[in-house]
Amino acid sequence: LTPPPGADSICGSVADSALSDLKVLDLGTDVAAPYAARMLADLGADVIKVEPLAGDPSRRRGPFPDDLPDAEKSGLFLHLNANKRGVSLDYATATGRRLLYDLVRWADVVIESEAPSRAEALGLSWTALEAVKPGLVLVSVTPFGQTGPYRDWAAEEITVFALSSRMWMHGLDGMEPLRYGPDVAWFQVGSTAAVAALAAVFASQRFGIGQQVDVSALEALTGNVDARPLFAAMTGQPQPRPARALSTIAGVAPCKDGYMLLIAGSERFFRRLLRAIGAAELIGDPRFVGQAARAANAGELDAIVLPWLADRTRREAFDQLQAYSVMCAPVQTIDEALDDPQLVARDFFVPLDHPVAGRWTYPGAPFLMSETPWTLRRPAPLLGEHNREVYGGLLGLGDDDLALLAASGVI
Amino acid sequence: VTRQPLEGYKVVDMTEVWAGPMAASILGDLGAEVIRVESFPRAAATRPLAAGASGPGIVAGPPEAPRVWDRAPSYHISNRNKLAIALDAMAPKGRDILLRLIGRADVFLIGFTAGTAERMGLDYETLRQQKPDLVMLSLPGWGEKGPYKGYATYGSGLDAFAGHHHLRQYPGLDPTTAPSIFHSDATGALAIAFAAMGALHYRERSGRGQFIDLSQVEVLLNHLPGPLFDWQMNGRVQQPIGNRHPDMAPHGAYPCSEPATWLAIAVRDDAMWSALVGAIGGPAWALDPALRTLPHRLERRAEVDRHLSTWTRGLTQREAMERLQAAGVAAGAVYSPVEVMADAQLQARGFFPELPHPLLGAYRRPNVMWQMARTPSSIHRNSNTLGEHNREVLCGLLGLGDAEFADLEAAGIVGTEYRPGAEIDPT
Repeated sequence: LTPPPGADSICGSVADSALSDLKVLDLGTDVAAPYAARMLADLGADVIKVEPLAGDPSRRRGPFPDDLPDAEKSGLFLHLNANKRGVSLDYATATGRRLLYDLVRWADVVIESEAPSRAEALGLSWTALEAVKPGLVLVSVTPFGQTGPYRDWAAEEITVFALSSRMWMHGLDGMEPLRYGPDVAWFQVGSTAAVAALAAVFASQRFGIGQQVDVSALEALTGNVDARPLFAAMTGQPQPRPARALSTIAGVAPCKDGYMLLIAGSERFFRRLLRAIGAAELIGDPRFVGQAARAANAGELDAIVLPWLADRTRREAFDQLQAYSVMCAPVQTIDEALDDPQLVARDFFVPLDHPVAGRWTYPGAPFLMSETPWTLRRPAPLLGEHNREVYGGLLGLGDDDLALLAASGVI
Repeated sequence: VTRQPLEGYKVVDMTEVWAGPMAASILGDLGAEVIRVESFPRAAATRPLAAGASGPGIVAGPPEAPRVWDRAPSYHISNRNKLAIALDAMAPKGRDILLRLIGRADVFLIGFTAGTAERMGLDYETLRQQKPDLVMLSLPGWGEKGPYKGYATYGSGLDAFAGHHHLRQYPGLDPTTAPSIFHSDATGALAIAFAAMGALHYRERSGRGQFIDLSQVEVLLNHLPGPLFDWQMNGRVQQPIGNRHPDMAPHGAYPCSEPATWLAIAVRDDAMWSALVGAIGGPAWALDPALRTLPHRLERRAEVDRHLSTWTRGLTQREAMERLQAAGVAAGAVYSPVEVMADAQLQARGFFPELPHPLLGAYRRPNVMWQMARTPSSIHRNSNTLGEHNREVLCGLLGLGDAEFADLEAAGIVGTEYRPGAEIDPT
């Protein structure tokens, strides 16, 4: 590669984090946008989270210690906002907006999640922010995107998930469709926004191109590999809703102490399964050759495989099946995952102290980078914790100014 | 000239199934040159050799039509915006081609079970001798180290292992009621693309490449903080709650007038409740003053759900959704995969462009997952047929002569067709 225009800004000194040269302003609320900012923070970006004076609504969502709501102790908030500094700011006020724009001048990336018409009213439109900071990357994470008839529609995770067609595919034929686990779809949207944000940083730093990145949650959830519209479009066939997944070879089946998920429906995997359970003599048995035959003789197959599983704990079955490269995994709960030898060996879970919430164990590195290790550097900020450091230190306001801003309800 | 964020970067994609190939597609969406190296002469899992009723066996077109392996949606869904070759990388001459491709690449994605890369001489320590600033990412199920190194699974197993399968089952029923899902492939693909770009960004500053060890379990556990903190904070193992929500009521999927149709409705706060009461015409049950506050709605949600279902049953999905949205209430139709393609919002944003395909004519597929105003992304290449770009890559990019290319073809090092019995072995 020849050094592109604007390369000066990215050819500085070697730092120990992948994104340590990046400054991010996180105006997002709830889960998706703050998670995008968290992903950038985890790779070393300097992220300042800007909260309304009442705090990010996720502070009011549990779990809380002993189920007692406390804005500084929400497990969800603590996770989403670790590795960030935090300030409070009412930027619906004129003074607040001036401060916001000062922070925008500091930032390389702004992430926001207001409904488009409200974003405009708050002075967060691309036109407004580009005038403040040419070359800026503005990442807007909304349910439906910046354009189109639904742009300002009300939405929650379940309603967007429903529209994406994935809810319809998640649930048994004849029964009510189900959402996924709590907030899981929003985390996917946040991950999508993080990818788009980082890509836009490349365009900004390499070519000097600032722009708005329009992330529609609906599109993020409809356009990835876990959605089925493409199957329907290519085959011209409606996609069937799933049938009950009790199966010895392609679903979940009971062990002595819980369930095992097996992926052994294909010819080769099925043969491996037979070897693993000591039934190699059945390889080639016409009752079980081909998916159609196995389906037709499912009862006989169950009579062979289910007792083998029922005689073993999940761990025993897991190790014995994997010894033959049978794809499988135990169906676990989070307390079991916490003690799992693999995750323990990889030092996955990480303890972290928080001045008010105390010491808890957090999910760790989502991936291991050999040169720029993931770090959990600081706990989620208290509401307004870094007001002095940011408004004073970064923007140069004096104590008197800060007192006045606080007294007038701007910070 | 329209710039692309990752133009000029080169990626070699040697991954299979969904997470890895989709990550490479995303890098291609962003303008990187992605060269996909497909398994040959053996077919990988998403390249079926015969049509079947389920999984990768589902194909477009008549079962007996030629080139079954090019017609599986399970391949198309994770592949686009790539040049692709079908290469026998186990043969010395094929391995030489692969090493030349890696030698000119910035990013190498490898999707084998842990340990396989070493056996093939494709481990990072070996490759960095040739290419010191290479960014390499491997994505085995449970990661490159630890007691489960070498254990095999697809995304559905990782979903179970991370605790998500348990949370997804119908409340009060058992885990067989939760379908296998491949969500972790979707989030895994995003994490892979993000990690690779993070490493490239660092390389621009430092000149240094690196190796990334990615387990989708560890990605997914980052998306499930609620159960983890609830267990620590309250000693509670979270149980499946179906479509209920701890902080919202009503919240769920409500049946509509046509068979097997539902509308998802979520009422975030008391103001939205008032809006809902107005939108449904203020029936007597809804005017109960106690229901104006969330704690009472949560306590009486079964009753509220029952009444609200009576209202939704009287309307089509579309009518109910529009009535509620007109009042500012969060409501979304539970679309089937066919219905979502006709949605007005997605239509307005051009989210399902029709793309040509050499075997299948044209079909509509979901677009790139974001819109960038000044570096617009598009799907400029549909899914590749097997070996579609063999010549373009080997002769055009690596500079092989026609005779040399013909020799490789004759020796079966590259090809465009699978022979019968080319067994599937994704590990």
